[in-house]
Order: sequence, then C-alpha cells, then structure tokens
Amino acid sequence: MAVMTMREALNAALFQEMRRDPTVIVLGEDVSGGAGGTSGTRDAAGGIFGVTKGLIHEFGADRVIDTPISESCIVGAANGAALAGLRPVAELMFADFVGVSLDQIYNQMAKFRYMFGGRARTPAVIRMSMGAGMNAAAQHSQTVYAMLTAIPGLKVVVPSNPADAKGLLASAIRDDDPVMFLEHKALYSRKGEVPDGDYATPFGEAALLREGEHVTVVALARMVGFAERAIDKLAAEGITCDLIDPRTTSPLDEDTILESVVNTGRLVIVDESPPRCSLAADIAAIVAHKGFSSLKGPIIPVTPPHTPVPFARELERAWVPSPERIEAAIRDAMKAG
Amino acid sequence: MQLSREDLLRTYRQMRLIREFEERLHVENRTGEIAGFTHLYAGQEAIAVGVCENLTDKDYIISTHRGHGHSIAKGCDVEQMMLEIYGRADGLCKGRGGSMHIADLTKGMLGANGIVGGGPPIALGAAIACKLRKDGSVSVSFIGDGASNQGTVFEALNMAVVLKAPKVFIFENNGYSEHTGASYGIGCDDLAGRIRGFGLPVFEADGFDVFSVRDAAKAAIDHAREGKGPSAVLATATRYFGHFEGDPQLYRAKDEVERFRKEKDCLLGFRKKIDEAKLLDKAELDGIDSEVLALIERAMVAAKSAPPPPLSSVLEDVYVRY
Amino acid sequence: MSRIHPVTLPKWGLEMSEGAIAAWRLEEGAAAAKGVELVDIETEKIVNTLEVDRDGVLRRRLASVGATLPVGALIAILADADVSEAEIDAFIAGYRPVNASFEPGAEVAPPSKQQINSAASSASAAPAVAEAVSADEIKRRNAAAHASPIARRLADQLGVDLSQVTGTGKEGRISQADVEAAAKALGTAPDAALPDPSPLSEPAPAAVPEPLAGPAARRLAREENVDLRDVAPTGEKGRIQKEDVRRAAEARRSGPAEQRSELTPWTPMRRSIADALLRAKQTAPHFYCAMDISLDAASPFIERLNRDNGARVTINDFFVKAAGRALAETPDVNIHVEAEGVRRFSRVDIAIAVAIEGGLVTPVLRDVDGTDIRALAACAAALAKRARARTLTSDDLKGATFTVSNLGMHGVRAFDAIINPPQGAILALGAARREARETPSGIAFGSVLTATMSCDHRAIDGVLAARFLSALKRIAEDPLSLVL
Repeated sequence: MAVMTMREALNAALFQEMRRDPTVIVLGEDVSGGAGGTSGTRDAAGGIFGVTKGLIHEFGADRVIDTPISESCIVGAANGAALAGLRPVAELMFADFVGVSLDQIYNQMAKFRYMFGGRARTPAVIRMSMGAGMNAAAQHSQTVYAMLTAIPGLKVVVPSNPADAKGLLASAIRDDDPVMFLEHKALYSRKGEVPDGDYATPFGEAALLREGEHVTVVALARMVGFAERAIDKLAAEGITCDLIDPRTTSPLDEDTILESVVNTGRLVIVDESPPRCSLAADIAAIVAHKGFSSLKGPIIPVTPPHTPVPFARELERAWVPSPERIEAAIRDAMKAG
Repeated sequence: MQLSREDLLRTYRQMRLIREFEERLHVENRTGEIAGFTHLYAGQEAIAVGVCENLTDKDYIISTHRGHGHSIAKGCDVEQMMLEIYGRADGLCKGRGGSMHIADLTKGMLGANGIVGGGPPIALGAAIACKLRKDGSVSVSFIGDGASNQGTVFEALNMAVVLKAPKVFIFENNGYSEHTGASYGIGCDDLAGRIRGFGLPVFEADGFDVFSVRDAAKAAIDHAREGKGPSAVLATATRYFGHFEGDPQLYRAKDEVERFRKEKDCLLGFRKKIDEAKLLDKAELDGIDSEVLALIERAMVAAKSAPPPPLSSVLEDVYVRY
Repeated sequence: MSRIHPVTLPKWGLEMSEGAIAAWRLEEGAAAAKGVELVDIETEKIVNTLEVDRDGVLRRRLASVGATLPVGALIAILADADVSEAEIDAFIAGYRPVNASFEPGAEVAPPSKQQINSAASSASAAPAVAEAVSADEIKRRNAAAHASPIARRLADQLGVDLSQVTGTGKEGRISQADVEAAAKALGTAPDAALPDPSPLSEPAPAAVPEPLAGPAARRLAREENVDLRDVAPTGEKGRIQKEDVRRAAEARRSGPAEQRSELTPWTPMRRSIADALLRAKQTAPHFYCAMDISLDAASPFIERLNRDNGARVTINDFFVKAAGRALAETPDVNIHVEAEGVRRFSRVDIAIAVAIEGGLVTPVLRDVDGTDIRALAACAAALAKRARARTLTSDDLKGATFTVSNLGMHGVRAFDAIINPPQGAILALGAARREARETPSGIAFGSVLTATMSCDHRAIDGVLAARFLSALKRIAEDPLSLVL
C-alpha cells in the first residue's frame, strides 16, 4: 500500500496499461504539451491536470499524441483508432466539452456496435474532468454523467477515491466498449491508500463504505466524502447508515442499493447534478419500482438546484450539496417509519 | 498508368455492379418493402471504384449516407448488403443498421454514416492506427460537397496534417448538398485551393472518368502510403437520382439527368475508351452485364424472402459485455 | 420473373403511406410493355402516373377509381396470357401485402431479459456443507467471494461460508437473498422480522377534505361547470372518476334529442389544402380593400366579342385579363413574398381558382398581359376541364404571381379570399348586381360588382392596393383598351 493523490493514481494506471498493452495510446490537447513551443520542452503540461505527466518520455509522440483544440475530432479520432484495433485514451480536459463533441459520442461511438450488428468494437476511453467547487463557472463545472448514462452503448465511471480511480481506469482501458471516465476536479489532490501492483476494479460493483441499519445513503464522486462526514457525525447519536458508492453509473449496481434498502427502508441519494433526469432521479425511480414494498417513507434526493453552476464562491458553496444538507436529509429520512 | 486485362474487367464489373444495384433499388423502392431512407449512388460509380481499386482489405474507408457504391467498391458482399437494406436477420449488420449504416470491418469498411461530416475524424483515427502499425496501410474518407463545409472536416484536415497521418480525403462534388446547389453552399470559388490551404496536396479528377479518378487517387494514396502525410482527391460527378428515394428533385432542370446519362455516363465512357483502344472484346463486357444482373436478381430474391431479425435481438450487441 | 407479377400501390417519397386511385389508363386484357402508363394515383394535389415495369398482360384491375389504399396494397395483376384465371385467383387469395404503415400495429412488448437468457436461474441455493470452519476463516473466504457487499455483510454476521453458496445474480453474483436461503438451509436464519408497529398517531384530517379526483375528471368538471363536491364518487378510496362527473352533468340536463355525428376522414387532397390554407393565413398578415366596378361597358363588350368572333369569353376571363393589365401597370403587386425580400416578376402569370370534386385547384394562365383575351379564355376553359378530369400536371400549378377567385355565379355579393403564398395578393370577385345611381340626368340603374383584394401587408401597403384597384376599375370600365 502506498498513499498517493488521485492524480498520481490515474497516472500510475496509464503507465501500467501502456506498458501492458502496446495498442494503448493517449491523445488530447496538451497531454504532453510544449509541441511547437520555443523552449523545445516536451511534457510541458502532462495534461491540464497533470494526469498524463511523463508518458511521452517513455512511450514517444506516436503513442502520446498532442492534438489541436478540436474536440469533435479528438473523440472522432479515438473512435476510428478503436475501430481499427487500438485502445485509445482521449482526454477532453473538461466534461463540459462533451457538448462540443456530442455527435461523435452520442451518434457515433455509442451506436457503432449495435448498428453494425455486433460486428464492431470501440474500446475507447474518454477521460474528462468534471464537477463544481473550484469556481470554474458554468461552462467548466458540470458533472455531465447523467446525460452520458442516459445513452445506451456507453459505460460511465465516476470514481470517488485514488484506489478506485486507478483500478477503474485500468478496467476502462481493458474494456471492449466505449467508456466515459469522469474525474472530479476537486478530487485530483485527494490522498488515499492505493494497493500496490497491477489491479483492475470491476464495473457494476458498488462499494459499501459505511455499514449501518437506519438509512441507505447513495453518493457519487465528490459527494461520497461529504456523505462520510455527515454519516460519521450522526453515528455518534446512534443513527447509522449504509453508504454506497456505485462507482460506475452505467452499468449500475442496482442489487446492492436494493438490498440495502430492504434492510433500512430509508433512502437518501446525494448527486451533484441538477435534479431533473439526474442520477438521483434515476436511482429513485429504480427503487420506487423494484423496492417499493421496503420503503418506510419518501426517497430523499440531495442535489443542487436546477440551474447552471454559479461562479461566485458564496453562490457555488450554496449550490453544491454540503455535508450539512446531507445530514439534514438523513434526519428527515429518520422521521419515516 | 498501365492496367492489365484483369484490372479493366474488374473495374468495369464493379461499376456495373453498383449501377445495377442502385437502378434495381430505385425500382424496388416503390413497393414499400424497403423501410426508411435510401440514398442512391448511381452516376458517381467512377469515383468509388477509381479510388477503391487502389486499396486492399488492410486499408480503411469510411463513407456517407450515400454509401452503397463505396461499400461495393470496397468489397462488401452484395447479397448481405441487400439483406441489410431490407432489414433482415442475415444482413451485413443483422438488420440493425439499414441502408445508411452498412459496415464491414473485415473489409476495412468503417460504415456508411448518417451524420454529414461525421466520417473524416473517424477515418483520421484509423489512420493513426495505420501509422502505428507501420504496414503502409492508409485510411480514406469519402465526403460530398455538403460535408466539405463542416467544421469536423476542417478539424480533420488540420489534425491529419499536424499528425502527418496516412489519411486520404476524397471530396465528391455531385453538384448538390441535398436540395441546394454546391456552388451556393461552398463560399469560395476554389475548393481545391481551400483544401490546399490546410497544407496537403490535392489531386483533381474528372469524376465521370474512372481512369482519371484512378490516377488521381493513386497519386494521393501513394503519397500517404509513403509516409508523406495526408492528401486529398477532388472529383466532380452527378447523381442520377434524388437526394433520397422519393425526392421530387424540384431543384434540378428537367433534362439535366438525361443529358448527363447521354453525354457523361461513366460506363458508356469506359466502353467507348476501351473500344477505341481495342482493349477488350465487347462480348466480354456484355457477359459481365448479364452476370451482374443475375447476381442482383439472386440477391433481391434472397432479400425479399429472408426472415426478419428475431425480436430478442433488439437487446443484443449494445455492449460487448455489460 | 415468376409468371404472375403483382402491381402494388407505390411508395413515392418518405412520408407517403396511402394513395387514391384517380384513373386507370389501361383496360383489363391489354398487353402492357415496360414503360406504358398504367394508372393515375392521387397523393396530394398532384396526380402521378404509375408505369408498368415489365412486359405482360394486364389481367386484373383490383382497385376502383376513388379508392384510397395503403402503400403496398395489391392494385393489379400482370401475367402472361397463358396463365389461367384459377392460378390468378389463387395468387390473389394468397397475397400478403407489405405493412408499410407508420402506425404502431399489434403492440409487441419488447423481449424480456428472461427470453434471452433462456437459462433462467433458479433461486434455490445449495445448502452449504457443514464443516467446522472458524468465523475468521469464513470472513476471509467471504471477502474473496463474488457477492454484493450487503450479502457479504449478512454472511459474515450469520457465519455463512460464501465459497459454498451458488449465486443467482449476474454471472453467479451472490445476493442477500441467496445468503438468506443458504442460512435457512443451515438453520442459522434470523427470526422473521416482527411486523412494523402501527404509527402512534394518524395525521389529523384536513378541515374540509378536498374531493379526490384525477386531472381528467377535474377538466371535465370545469368544462361541464360541475362542482366536484356535488359528485358521488365510485372510484377507489372515494376518488371521483370521469364517469361520475359525466353522470352528474347528465342528471343536471333535461335531455334534448339525441345528438349523432359521423366523421368524414380527410382525403389526401383535402388535408393538403387545409395545411396550405392554414399556413397562408397564419404567416401572411392579410388586409383587405374592396372596390365597386361598373359593368355597364364590360357586359356589351364581352357580348360583342362572343358574337363577332365565336369566342367564349366569360366575365371571369374578362377580369383576369383586366387584372393582368392592371398588374403590368402596378408591377409592385406582381410579386412573391420571400424570406429574404420581395421578388418582382416581369411577366404576369395568374392562377384561377377551379372548384373540383372534393376540393379546389389553382391552374395558371401564363403571360396574361401579353395574351389576347380570346386565347386566354380558351386556355382557361381547357385548364378548368383538365382540372375536373384530374389530369393537371405539377407544371400547370406552379409559379403564379397573382390569383383571381370568383363566387359571383353563386350570388355572393363580396368575399375575402386567402392569399396563395408566396403570392402577394388575390382578387375575389362577387356577383354582378343592379344598383341605382345618381347621374346628371337623374337616377339610373347600372350593373356593378364588388372586387375585394386581399394583400400581404409585408409587401403591399394600402396605397399600393388602392392604386392597383383604381387601375383595374379604369381598365374594366373602359374595356376597349384591352383589344386596341
């Protein structure tokens, strides 16, 4: 076990997989950086958040490809490279740029296999930073995973800690389907214990991070840490919770959530996405359909308001669900049954 | 360029096969059996064949919504294509793609594509794979005059040059972006110059003449194969049918197609040249004509009587594994 | 080719799902060669002709004129002369048309996962073999098992060794239910949970309970002016159903005679007329100007034309010609209104409205100002005849710059017509009527009609409309200028 940041864990996964498989390539804006500069320095950036740092020195410019600012074409090129037998890992910098490249994601990569009658594979990974909390304002702070989860044909990964980030990125690269890999930008510097050696964390298996008997709490990405704070505080008062981190929203480990609800009868879902058609709404619908008889009271979502992400510090703090709001939601849930 | 007898016969057969395939679909499309959108390629055969005659199964192409010609020229199975167009279980895409999404990865055919301008970035990615494999293979995108104005195409042109990718851009100007004249949609008078401005060589061809296209495409493809980076071919032709089947073509002069069919047709032109040069026996070409018609009749009979996909297959192949 | 060839209603274009037989061009028993015209099929305003696509004899016509049929319907049989009638009968009896409908047919539920994984797992887990294993060892084994975290926790609590349990989930994943079943088999199952105690306090009922009703019932109540508190509910938990509201409304009414109705479905032509008119009225801001025009000079002029030249000029022809001249004088009315601006035309092409069975068509007279009035009249008569015979082509209907519509023959005094986009204006003619007028020599009776012009105000202002109408009046009241 070593303690490292999520940034370092992701970087370790890229090194691990590129060494393991010569068909893995990395492409995107500034994945190395410095190309065409006047200093002659390569790896001047190593990715805008430093996740791809150092790769070019070991794997060369043919496998670590700096591209122009052309998001459609970056994703499109990942699509074509994948169809042609490579395992591209493309970086989109910000998840918000899914908007720029949506055709290549939504109409192309997600549908190739199905529409070509199962006779194609698109093992591409699109990495992107997501989420609010860094005052990056409306066009650089969205979570986007709800929209991507709604697209059949894509797999969607939302790690909440360094160990999972490394294991899930390894799985994403080895997976034969297109994977959207969303890294919360406020978590890059979060430290955690990471197992040594090669490992891959399977998709569709939730993590049970706290165990309790009164309330099931489902939280994603940065919200997992916030939920832990709220849950640990309430434990002192004798209110105990199951905390479930789905880790992948597509496929989604419905069983773990439903089984926990059978035991607790109460459900709080914490999702940093605007509420309409969010993961909170999706999970609530699944539980209302398949776990209705276990519920003792209404399902309680904890989400931001249905607005774009505001810029000002005060506004953004109020916008992002806080540990205090999660605590209040758990107390609300306790009023039922 | 010197062509062998086999080359000439194959070139003629490919063009004839595309032509009869499309002519037959045009008639059959009236019956209502074919669902959805069908866009026919008749009139442009010299371009698809002139380009693909320079390619092998290791090379990639990506096509457009008007994809039957490129698919046949790249070697897709005609009967399986027909089954696909009729939405049958044994179609090239198991009946899940239809006319607009015919693909065969084993032939390096990365699919017909319903998004105008969607292809070039994807072909660029395949070119990155070709470059990494170092086997001299290339990747080719076909687009029309309409897509030539799409941002995705500009991005792919520029990125291909930046990455020195073995990617060949084929621009097929058939005169119309759906129902609008190309001269209106393309803002500059000099499309070749516009493409050259991205930093790659452009080889121009007469899209009605398969020999002209073949020469231009060979030059462009050799350039890419030799590791000199991307290149482009610009060819002009016309389409004999509407944008899609059922298009009343109110934007075209009444006798325009008739005139092209009489004066510029690529198959008539081929026969004329061959005749003048005394290269092949007329009977040989006539034999190909009847063989092709029989092949299409067989494919059509098979397609009309083949079973539809089983209902359960609606859930298949969303993922490799989920 | 098989010896019997079915001819089906063709699909012309993406959205065509039905068509009507307008006219047969070939008799039963006639030999047909490829390319011969077989039948006219009406889709919208326009009639298309279906040609035969192979040689043969037209043995049967299976659809009568006027029938509206779906795409793919069998309409005729082509066969060689030597095919027997019985063979054809058998072919027709066994023919199954293509279903080209866009409507959902027999609803088919999507297949379930079970249908696909026919190997539906049975939910019975094999009991674990009882062997003396320490709790710690079981926990160690359980940590490595393919199980949901909740199942693992329960197994640890109950001492179930997951390495001995068969999972029923995806790819053999062990669920909480599997652990419970295994525990039961081992005899370590937890006691059945006690039923939940009933809540200590019922919520206080609201002071005046709002009647329970769904949105449909509420809407009907609003429409029928029924107070929901007066309605006797029959639904579950006292919920008011739509039927209950209807009954309450019925009870309030004393019944007048029963109202019956029947729906005449839109024909393709009627529907396309409706769409076009709706678009016209919604997109062009109409305004109207009326002008009374004396016929005292026009009537004898027309009579004389017809007497001396054997022509058949009608009052309508006369006004089309006069409008043509007036448009030539005020070219700003001879226009199309387009998105980018107003397009002025050098030539005057006037459409005339012709009523036909089931609708209205507007064929076009070309170069009205440059054509002699007698030739114009002959042309108009021919167009009207072809309109009624349904043999107009799309060329006959295209490109008019102005329209004249006339209801005078039905005694209508005056009316406001709807413009035919992209034209800028339309002229509506009423009936000739006798009117008393003051003249220098006293009161005199004269013939007069009202011409009402509808204009698209985006391109034509009131003053311009008035200029056109004044020119029309001047020309119509001094008709010699039309032949001089």
